[in-house]
Amino acid sequence: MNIFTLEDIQVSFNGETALDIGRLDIAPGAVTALSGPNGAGKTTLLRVMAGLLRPDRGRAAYMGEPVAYGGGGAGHRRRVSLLHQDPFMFRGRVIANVAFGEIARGRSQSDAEGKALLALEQAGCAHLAERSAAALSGGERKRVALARSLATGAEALLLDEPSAGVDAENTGRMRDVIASLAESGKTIIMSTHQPDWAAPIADVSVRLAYGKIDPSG
Amino acid sequence: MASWRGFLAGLWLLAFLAAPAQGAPAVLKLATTTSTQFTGLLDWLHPHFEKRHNVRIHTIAVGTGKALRLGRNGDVDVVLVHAPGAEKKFVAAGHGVCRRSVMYNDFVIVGPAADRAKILGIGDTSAALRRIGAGGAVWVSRGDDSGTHKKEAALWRGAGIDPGGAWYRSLGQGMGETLKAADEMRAYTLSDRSSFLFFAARGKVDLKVLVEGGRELLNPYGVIAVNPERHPHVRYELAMKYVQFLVSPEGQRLIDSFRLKGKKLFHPSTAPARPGN
Amino acid sequence: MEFLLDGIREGILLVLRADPDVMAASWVTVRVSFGATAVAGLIGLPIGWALASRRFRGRGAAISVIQTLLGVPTVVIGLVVYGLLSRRGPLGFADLLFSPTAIVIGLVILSVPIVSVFTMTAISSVDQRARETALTLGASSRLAAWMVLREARFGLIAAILGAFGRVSSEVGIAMMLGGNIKGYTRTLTTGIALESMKGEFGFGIALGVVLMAIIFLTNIGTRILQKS
Repeated sequence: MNIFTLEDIQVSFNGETALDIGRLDIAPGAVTALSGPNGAGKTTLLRVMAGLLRPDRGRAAYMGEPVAYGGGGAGHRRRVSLLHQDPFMFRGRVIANVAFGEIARGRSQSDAEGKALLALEQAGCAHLAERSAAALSGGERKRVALARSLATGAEALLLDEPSAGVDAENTGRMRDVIASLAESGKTIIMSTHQPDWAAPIADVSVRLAYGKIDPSG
Repeated sequence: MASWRGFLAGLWLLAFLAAPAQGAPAVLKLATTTSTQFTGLLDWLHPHFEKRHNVRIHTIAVGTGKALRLGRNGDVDVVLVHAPGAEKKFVAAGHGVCRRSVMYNDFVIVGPAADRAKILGIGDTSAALRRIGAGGAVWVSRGDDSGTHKKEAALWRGAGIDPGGAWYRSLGQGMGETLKAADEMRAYTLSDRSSFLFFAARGKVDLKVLVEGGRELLNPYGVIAVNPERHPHVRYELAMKYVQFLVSPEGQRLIDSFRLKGKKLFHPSTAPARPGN
Repeated sequence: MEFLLDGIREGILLVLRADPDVMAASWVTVRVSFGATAVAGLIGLPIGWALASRRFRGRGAAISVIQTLLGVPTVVIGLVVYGLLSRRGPLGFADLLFSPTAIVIGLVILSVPIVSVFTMTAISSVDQRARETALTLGASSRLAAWMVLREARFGLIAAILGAFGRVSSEVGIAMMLGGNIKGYTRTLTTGIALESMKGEFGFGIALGVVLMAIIFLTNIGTRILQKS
């Protein structure tokens, strides 16, 4: 069974079509790379799958169930987590940010922080735990945000340009972390404008252009 | 849930702010002219009345015109003002009952000592005003529909002048501001004597009395209870007690003995209470 | 110059001596200002939040209306509320005119647009990603809204403080709706207006000193709260 099934999805902003997908199936446990130029609809597609953006029409299903949007969608959003290209950090310490997802699920403070520390280690940034989130560099923010999504225990991680804004040395480390997550059974769907960077770990590649799936890709 | 509780807390707070203190004395609302308040006359008179009747007088000091409007709207229980013409109309229109003369002082025309219009010592008010209107001098008017403003308008009419133009500056402010403005502009103005003495005695303005004494310059104060038939909610009985207090021998004696820095500002109405006046 | 200095000296002495008239006006000011700010916060914060976070029909019009209300002169508010509360007005039966409550009502109308607009700006300036981040980490929409408020909290505190500063220094509404009744509705500002009319510099300055002290202490108190 496919983990995501999208049919006839259309999204437009201010009358301009941003996304127009006839059909897209995504296999579980795989790393799917979405490539394409800026404005191709990669971020929009990820937001639709994350349950954050309700498409104007069409059906999006996760594990055979329609993706829920709006106020009642917490169930879906607890199984799928989106990592923004330029992640937002809540005011406060890094550890509190990473523990947020578990706190939102009603776990105790200490349980949540324990899981948060594990996730920080997995993402290779446990040393940042006590820092103020506001003081992180762009690359650090990206890794902490990955840990934060990881700590939620989500089955599928949607990563928007995980290598962008990360310096050359760390893009490799980021790729290794993603690969190890995939190995541990997570489904990864990531967008990138650097197909070469993604190629070594991507099981499937999907190319978007002008909001549509590019059949030549 | 939390916001709902906050909302209730807010309502409670509003109720707390709105609730009158329990066992508080009755309140009588008096609208009056600024001159009676800031000279301190009412602070001198009211404690006697408040103690005797266990009442708090809420004094709202505005111009005579506004005071009469508050009475007409039923927003106060009693008015103490100085514009006999307007007061009579107020009673005739049924807004108030039982108008009584309380006291009087007089108006004076004041101006800079330099007196460019040369009006010092002119006995005839109209003649003095005509000289001011003839040019060269500046006149400052209250322009606020107060008793003083109404009197001033009547005096200009009496002098046969329709004042206007650059020399006539209508402020729309109280007596204190008007006197201070006249002082700053080296201009002439009309003031009740009590206000003028109040400011002059304390060196707040450097103006001189230039015209005084005419009959038309008398400034009588009257008190009127708001008509309970128009406004059933007014505290009519209390208002009548206040009216009677002001015209009683005690009230009249208190007015007679009031001094500001040794100066007598108000004269009690010598005439005893005459029904129907 | 001596005139001014004498006034300041006399004013400070009156404050130090805890002059009863100064104290009474201070108490009235504190009561109506805190009351009006609290009520305006309860009304204005949700309005500002809704304008910033919700997309509904008429939202643009509502923002325009509230921004226009920001500029309405206080005397106009005073007149309108006077018309409502006067015995001849629709709410005359409540007998509220010339009471502290009447001032609170006028000040609430003055400050609700202030709180609403400041709140809207504060929440809008928080990144839209704050909400999305909370949501995608599994937060309920209620918790996500809370996180946005939490991120905007300095702006929200500024909204409340701005409203407090405005209402505690307001004079037209307090004068028209309170009537400047000594010991009852005489606030620091209407007291200053009366004393300046009388040319009583010292007393006016005493009241001004207390007014500034109240606003200053409120700011300090808020800073301490923010730190803790």
